[in-house]
Amino acid sequence: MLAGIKEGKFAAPEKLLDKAGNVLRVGQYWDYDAKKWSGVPQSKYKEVLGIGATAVDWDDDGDLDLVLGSFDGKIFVRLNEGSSTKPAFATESTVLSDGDTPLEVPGHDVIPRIADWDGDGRFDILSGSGAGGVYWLRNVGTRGTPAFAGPQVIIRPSDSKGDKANPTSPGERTQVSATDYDGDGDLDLLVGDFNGDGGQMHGWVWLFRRR
Amino acid sequence: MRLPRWLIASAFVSAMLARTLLAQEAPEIAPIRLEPPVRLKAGDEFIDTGKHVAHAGPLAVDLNADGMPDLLVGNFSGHFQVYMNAGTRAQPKYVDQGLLEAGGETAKVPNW
Repeated sequence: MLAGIKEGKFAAPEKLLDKAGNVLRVGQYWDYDAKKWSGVPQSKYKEVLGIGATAVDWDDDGDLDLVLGSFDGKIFVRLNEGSSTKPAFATESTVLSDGDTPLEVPGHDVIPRIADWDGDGRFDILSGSGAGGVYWLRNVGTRGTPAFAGPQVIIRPSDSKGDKANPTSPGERTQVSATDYDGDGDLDLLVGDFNGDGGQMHGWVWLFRRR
Repeated sequence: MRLPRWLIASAFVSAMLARTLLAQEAPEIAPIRLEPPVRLKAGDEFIDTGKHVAHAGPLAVDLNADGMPDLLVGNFSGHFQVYMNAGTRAQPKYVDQGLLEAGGETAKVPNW
Protein backbone atom coordinates (compact mmCIF):
# COMPACT_ATOMS: atom_id res chain seq x y z
CA MET A 1 0.00 0.00 0.00
CA LEU A 2 1.14 3.55 -0.76
CA ALA A 3 -0.68 5.81 1.69
CA GLY A 4 -1.80 9.13 0.27
CA ILE A 5 -0.47 12.15 2.13
CA LYS A 6 -1.24 15.78 1.56
CA GLU A 7 -0.86 17.64 -1.71
CA GLY A 8 -1.21 14.57 -3.88
CA LYS A 9 1.89 12.85 -2.58
CA PHE A 10 2.37 9.29 -1.39
CA ALA A 11 4.28 7.66 1.41
CA ALA A 12 6.79 4.88 0.73
CA PRO A 13 5.22 1.48 -0.06
CA GLU A 14 4.49 -0.71 2.94
CA LYS A 15 3.43 -4.33 3.10
CA LEU A 16 0.02 -5.03 4.52
CA LEU A 17 -0.02 -7.31 7.56
CA ASP A 18 -2.74 -9.56 8.87
CA LYS A 19 -3.93 -9.39 12.48
CA ALA A 20 -1.24 -11.87 13.53
CA GLY A 21 1.46 -9.57 12.17
CA ASN A 22 2.30 -11.72 9.13
CA VAL A 23 2.70 -10.25 5.64
CA LEU A 24 -0.66 -10.61 3.94
CA ARG A 25 -0.38 -13.14 1.09
CA VAL A 26 -2.72 -15.63 -0.51
CA GLY A 27 -0.19 -18.45 -0.41
CA GLN A 28 2.80 -18.73 -2.71
CA TYR A 29 5.30 -15.89 -3.03
CA TRP A 30 8.80 -15.13 -4.26
CA ASP A 31 11.20 -14.77 -1.36
CA TYR A 32 13.48 -11.99 -2.60
CA ASP A 33 16.02 -12.62 0.17
CA ALA A 34 16.28 -16.38 -0.27
CA LYS A 35 15.72 -16.05 -4.03
CA LYS A 36 13.27 -18.91 -4.17
CA TRP A 37 9.56 -19.64 -4.23
CA SER A 38 8.00 -20.06 -0.82
CA GLY A 39 4.53 -20.57 0.54
CA VAL A 40 2.72 -19.29 3.58
CA PRO A 41 2.99 -22.46 5.72
CA GLN A 42 -0.22 -21.96 7.67
CA SER A 43 -2.34 -21.22 4.59
CA LYS A 44 -4.51 -23.89 3.02
CA TYR A 45 -3.78 -22.10 -0.25
CA LYS A 46 0.02 -22.20 0.09
CA GLU A 47 0.37 -23.31 -3.53
CA VAL A 48 -1.69 -20.40 -4.86
CA LEU A 49 0.21 -17.39 -6.19
CA GLY A 50 -1.60 -14.14 -5.46
CA ILE A 51 -0.99 -11.46 -8.07
CA GLY A 52 -3.55 -8.70 -7.56
CA ALA A 53 -5.55 -6.92 -4.90
CA THR A 54 -8.27 -4.35 -4.55
CA ALA A 55 -10.30 -3.02 -1.63
CA VAL A 56 -14.04 -2.90 -1.01
CA ASP A 57 -16.35 -2.99 1.98
CA TRP A 58 -17.31 -6.60 1.31
CA ASP A 59 -19.56 -7.16 4.31
CA ASP A 60 -20.97 -3.64 4.65
CA ASP A 61 -19.53 -3.09 8.12
CA GLY A 62 -17.91 0.25 7.40
CA ASP A 63 -14.33 -0.81 6.73
CA LEU A 64 -12.40 -1.94 3.69
CA ASP A 65 -11.77 -5.62 3.02
CA LEU A 66 -9.50 -7.06 0.36
CA VAL A 67 -10.33 -8.96 -2.82
CA LEU A 68 -7.30 -10.89 -4.05
CA GLY A 69 -6.66 -12.38 -7.47
CA SER A 70 -4.50 -15.37 -8.24
CA PHE A 71 -2.38 -16.67 -11.05
CA ASP A 72 -4.54 -19.78 -11.39
CA GLY A 73 -7.74 -17.83 -11.96
CA LYS A 74 -9.40 -17.94 -8.55
CA ILE A 75 -10.58 -14.99 -6.48
CA PHE A 76 -10.18 -14.69 -2.72
CA VAL A 77 -11.56 -12.44 0.00
CA ARG A 78 -9.64 -11.35 3.08
CA LEU A 79 -11.96 -9.74 5.59
CA ASN A 80 -11.00 -6.81 7.75
CA GLU A 81 -11.94 -7.82 11.29
CA GLY A 82 -10.87 -4.50 12.68
CA SER A 83 -12.02 -1.04 11.63
CA SER A 84 -11.47 1.54 8.94
CA THR A 85 -8.81 3.28 11.02
CA LYS A 86 -7.30 0.16 12.59
CA PRO A 87 -7.54 -2.64 10.08
CA ALA A 88 -7.05 -6.19 11.34
CA PHE A 89 -7.14 -8.54 8.41
CA ALA A 90 -8.06 -12.18 8.92
CA THR A 91 -5.18 -14.66 8.85
CA GLU A 92 -6.71 -16.72 6.05
CA SER A 93 -8.39 -15.99 2.74
CA THR A 94 -11.73 -17.36 1.62
CA VAL A 95 -12.04 -18.51 -1.96
CA LEU A 96 -14.98 -17.13 -3.92
CA SER A 97 -17.23 -20.02 -4.84
CA ASP A 98 -20.50 -20.97 -6.40
CA GLY A 99 -21.61 -23.60 -3.94
CA ASP A 100 -18.62 -25.87 -3.50
CA THR A 101 -17.01 -24.91 -6.80
CA PRO A 102 -14.47 -22.08 -6.78
CA LEU A 103 -15.18 -19.44 -9.38
CA GLU A 104 -12.44 -19.12 -11.99
CA VAL A 105 -11.74 -16.50 -14.61
CA PRO A 106 -10.97 -18.15 -17.96
CA GLY A 107 -7.37 -17.69 -19.00
CA HIS A 108 -6.30 -17.14 -15.36
CA ASP A 109 -4.16 -14.19 -14.16
CA VAL A 110 -6.87 -12.52 -12.10
CA ILE A 111 -6.27 -8.94 -11.09
CA PRO A 112 -9.67 -7.99 -9.68
CA ARG A 113 -11.33 -4.60 -9.77
CA ILE A 114 -14.54 -3.47 -8.12
CA ALA A 115 -17.27 -1.54 -9.96
CA ASP A 116 -21.06 -1.52 -10.11
CA TRP A 117 -20.96 -2.48 -13.77
CA ASP A 118 -24.68 -2.93 -14.28
CA GLY A 119 -25.77 -0.03 -12.06
CA ASP A 120 -27.95 -2.10 -9.76
CA GLY A 121 -26.49 -0.71 -6.56
CA ARG A 122 -24.35 -3.77 -5.80
CA PHE A 123 -20.61 -3.89 -6.45
CA ASP A 124 -19.43 -6.36 -9.08
CA ILE A 125 -16.00 -7.82 -9.82
CA LEU A 126 -14.20 -7.15 -13.10
CA SER A 127 -11.01 -8.83 -14.21
CA GLY A 128 -8.72 -9.13 -17.17
CA SER A 129 -7.19 -12.47 -18.08
CA GLY A 130 -3.91 -14.06 -19.05
CA ALA A 131 -5.51 -15.01 -22.35
CA GLY A 132 -6.82 -11.49 -22.92
CA GLY A 133 -10.32 -10.11 -22.76
CA VAL A 134 -12.25 -8.79 -19.79
CA TYR A 135 -14.71 -10.64 -17.56
CA TRP A 136 -17.55 -9.55 -15.30
CA LEU A 137 -18.70 -11.44 -12.23
CA ARG A 138 -22.10 -10.02 -11.44
CA ASN A 139 -23.08 -9.61 -7.79
CA VAL A 140 -26.32 -11.51 -7.32
CA GLY A 141 -26.25 -11.35 -3.53
CA THR A 142 -27.44 -8.77 -1.06
CA ARG A 143 -25.82 -5.85 0.68
CA GLY A 144 -23.45 -7.23 3.25
CA THR A 145 -23.65 -10.75 1.79
CA PRO A 146 -22.39 -10.58 -1.78
CA ALA A 147 -22.59 -13.62 -4.03
CA PHE A 148 -21.33 -13.84 -7.57
CA ALA A 149 -22.44 -15.44 -10.78
CA GLY A 150 -19.92 -17.13 -13.03
CA PRO A 151 -17.81 -14.92 -15.29
CA GLN A 152 -19.40 -13.27 -18.29
CA VAL A 153 -17.39 -11.90 -21.20
CA ILE A 154 -17.40 -8.11 -21.51
CA ILE A 155 -14.53 -8.01 -23.99
CA ARG A 156 -13.65 -11.12 -25.95
CA PRO A 157 -10.01 -12.15 -26.08
CA SER A 158 -8.78 -10.94 -29.42
CA ASP A 159 -9.20 -13.64 -32.04
CA SER A 160 -6.38 -12.19 -34.06
CA LYS A 161 -3.66 -10.00 -32.67
CA GLY A 162 -3.16 -8.74 -36.19
CA ASP A 163 -0.25 -6.41 -36.89
CA LYS A 164 1.54 -6.46 -33.57
CA ALA A 165 3.30 -3.19 -34.34
CA ASN A 166 -0.08 -1.51 -34.90
CA PRO A 167 -2.65 -3.52 -32.98
CA THR A 168 -6.33 -2.68 -33.11
CA SER A 169 -7.34 -4.45 -29.91
CA PRO A 170 -5.75 -5.47 -26.61
CA GLY A 171 -3.37 -8.38 -26.45
CA GLU A 172 -2.86 -10.78 -23.55
CA ARG A 173 -2.45 -10.51 -19.79
CA THR A 174 -5.08 -7.82 -19.64
CA GLN A 175 -5.71 -5.64 -16.62
CA VAL A 176 -8.89 -3.59 -16.37
CA SER A 177 -10.33 -0.68 -14.44
CA ALA A 178 -13.77 0.92 -14.76
CA THR A 179 -14.13 4.69 -14.79
CA ASP A 180 -16.35 7.38 -16.24
CA TYR A 181 -13.60 8.41 -18.63
CA ASP A 182 -15.45 11.22 -20.41
CA GLY A 183 -17.78 12.44 -17.68
CA ASP A 184 -20.96 11.36 -19.45
CA GLY A 185 -22.36 9.52 -16.47
CA ASP A 186 -21.62 5.90 -17.34
CA LEU A 187 -18.71 3.59 -16.71
CA ASP A 188 -16.14 3.02 -19.42
CA LEU A 189 -13.24 0.59 -19.32
CA LEU A 190 -9.50 1.11 -19.33
CA VAL A 191 -7.63 -2.03 -20.36
CA GLY A 192 -3.88 -2.52 -20.14
CA ASP A 193 -2.21 -5.38 -21.93
CA PHE A 194 0.94 -7.22 -22.86
CA ASN A 195 1.74 -7.26 -26.55
CA GLY A 196 4.86 -8.74 -28.12
CA ASP A 197 6.14 -7.40 -31.42
CA GLY A 198 8.92 -9.53 -32.89
CA GLY A 199 10.93 -9.47 -29.71
CA GLN A 200 9.82 -6.01 -28.53
CA MET A 201 7.43 -5.90 -25.62
CA HIS A 202 4.64 -3.39 -25.31
CA GLY A 203 2.05 -2.67 -22.66
CA TRP A 204 -0.59 -0.49 -24.23
CA VAL A 205 -3.56 1.18 -22.56
CA TRP A 206 -6.93 0.91 -24.32
CA LEU A 207 -10.16 2.81 -23.78
CA PHE A 208 -13.51 1.11 -24.36
CA ARG A 209 -16.30 3.69 -24.12
CA ARG A 210 -19.72 2.38 -23.20
CA ARG A 211 -22.34 2.90 -25.87
CA MET B 1 -18.58 -56.28 -43.95
CA ARG B 2 -20.02 -56.44 -40.49
CA LEU B 3 -18.35 -54.13 -37.96
CA PRO B 4 -17.13 -55.73 -34.72
CA ARG B 5 -19.10 -54.82 -31.55
CA TRP B 6 -16.05 -53.35 -29.83
CA LEU B 7 -15.63 -50.86 -32.66
CA ILE B 8 -19.28 -49.86 -32.58
CA ALA B 9 -19.16 -49.45 -28.78
CA SER B 10 -15.99 -47.41 -29.00
CA ALA B 11 -17.49 -45.09 -31.59
CA PHE B 12 -20.62 -44.68 -29.45
CA VAL B 13 -18.58 -43.73 -26.36
CA SER B 14 -16.50 -41.29 -28.41
CA ALA B 15 -19.63 -39.66 -29.79
CA MET B 16 -21.15 -39.30 -26.33
CA LEU B 17 -17.93 -37.81 -24.97
CA ALA B 18 -17.74 -35.33 -27.81
CA ARG B 19 -21.35 -34.33 -27.25
CA THR B 20 -20.65 -33.75 -23.56
CA LEU B 21 -17.56 -31.65 -24.24
CA LEU B 22 -19.31 -29.53 -26.84
CA ALA B 23 -22.21 -28.95 -24.47
CA GLN B 24 -19.95 -27.37 -21.79
CA GLU B 25 -20.86 -23.73 -21.64
CA ALA B 26 -18.46 -20.98 -22.63
CA PRO B 27 -18.74 -17.87 -20.45
CA GLU B 28 -21.87 -15.89 -21.21
CA ILE B 29 -21.56 -12.70 -23.21
CA ALA B 30 -22.53 -9.69 -21.10
CA PRO B 31 -25.29 -7.56 -22.68
CA ILE B 32 -23.62 -4.16 -22.21
CA ARG B 33 -22.16 -2.84 -25.46
CA LEU B 34 -18.90 -1.01 -25.88
CA GLU B 35 -17.41 1.17 -28.60
CA PRO B 36 -14.38 -0.20 -30.50
CA PRO B 37 -11.19 0.29 -28.50
CA VAL B 38 -8.93 3.31 -28.76
CA ARG B 39 -5.27 3.11 -27.79
CA LEU B 40 -4.48 6.01 -25.47
CA LYS B 41 -1.73 8.52 -26.10
CA ALA B 42 0.27 10.98 -24.08
CA GLY B 43 1.06 13.77 -26.51
CA ASP B 44 1.81 12.13 -29.84
CA GLU B 45 3.09 8.87 -28.37
CA PHE B 46 1.05 5.83 -27.40
CA ILE B 47 1.17 5.16 -23.69
CA ASP B 48 3.43 2.13 -23.36
CA THR B 49 4.98 0.28 -20.44
CA GLY B 50 7.24 -1.68 -22.79
CA LYS B 51 10.54 -0.38 -21.47
CA HIS B 52 9.50 -1.51 -18.00
CA VAL B 53 8.74 -5.07 -19.12
CA ALA B 54 5.24 -4.15 -20.25
CA HIS B 55 2.09 -5.55 -18.51
CA ALA B 56 0.16 -2.29 -18.25
CA GLY B 57 -2.20 -1.85 -15.30
CA PRO B 58 -4.14 1.42 -15.79
CA LEU B 59 -6.12 3.40 -13.25
CA ALA B 60 -7.87 6.76 -13.64
CA VAL B 61 -7.39 8.83 -10.49
CA ASP B 62 -7.41 12.55 -9.77
CA LEU B 63 -3.85 12.88 -8.51
CA ASN B 64 -3.75 16.68 -8.19
CA ALA B 65 -7.36 17.27 -7.03
CA ASP B 66 -8.26 19.50 -9.98
CA GLY B 67 -11.48 17.63 -10.68
CA MET B 68 -10.10 15.77 -13.69
CA PRO B 69 -8.94 12.16 -13.65
CA ASP B 70 -5.28 11.59 -14.40
CA LEU B 71 -3.79 8.26 -15.38
CA LEU B 72 -1.60 5.96 -13.32
CA VAL B 73 -0.23 2.93 -15.15
CA GLY B 74 1.50 0.12 -13.31
CA ASN B 75 4.16 -1.96 -15.06
CA PHE B 76 5.91 -5.28 -14.57
CA SER B 77 8.99 -3.67 -13.01
CA GLY B 78 6.81 -2.59 -10.11
CA HIS B 79 6.79 1.11 -11.00
CA PHE B 80 3.88 3.43 -11.72
CA GLN B 81 3.89 5.67 -14.80
CA VAL B 82 2.15 9.01 -14.26
CA TYR B 83 0.17 10.87 -16.93
CA MET B 84 -1.43 14.12 -15.85
CA ASN B 85 -4.63 15.28 -17.56
CA ALA B 86 -4.05 18.67 -19.21
CA GLY B 87 -7.26 18.51 -21.22
CA THR B 88 -10.89 18.68 -20.19
CA ARG B 89 -13.23 16.36 -18.36
CA ALA B 90 -14.87 15.32 -21.64
CA GLN B 91 -11.64 15.12 -23.64
CA PRO B 92 -8.64 14.20 -21.51
CA LYS B 93 -5.16 14.97 -22.85
CA TYR B 94 -2.34 13.26 -21.06
CA VAL B 95 1.17 14.55 -20.37
CA ASP B 96 3.87 12.07 -19.38
CA GLN B 97 5.21 12.95 -15.94
CA GLY B 98 7.58 9.99 -15.55
CA LEU B 99 7.47 7.52 -12.68
CA LEU B 100 5.54 8.01 -9.47
CA GLU B 101 7.56 8.99 -6.44
CA ALA B 102 6.64 7.94 -2.93
CA GLY B 103 8.49 8.68 0.28
CA GLY B 104 11.01 10.71 -1.66
CA GLU B 105 12.04 7.89 -4.00
CA THR B 106 10.76 6.29 -7.18
CA ALA B 107 7.94 4.05 -5.99
CA LYS B 108 8.50 0.34 -6.55
CA VAL B 109 6.55 -2.65 -5.35
CA PRO B 110 7.26 -6.38 -5.71
CA ASN B 111 5.36 -8.03 -8.53
CA TRP B 112 5.27 -11.56 -7.08
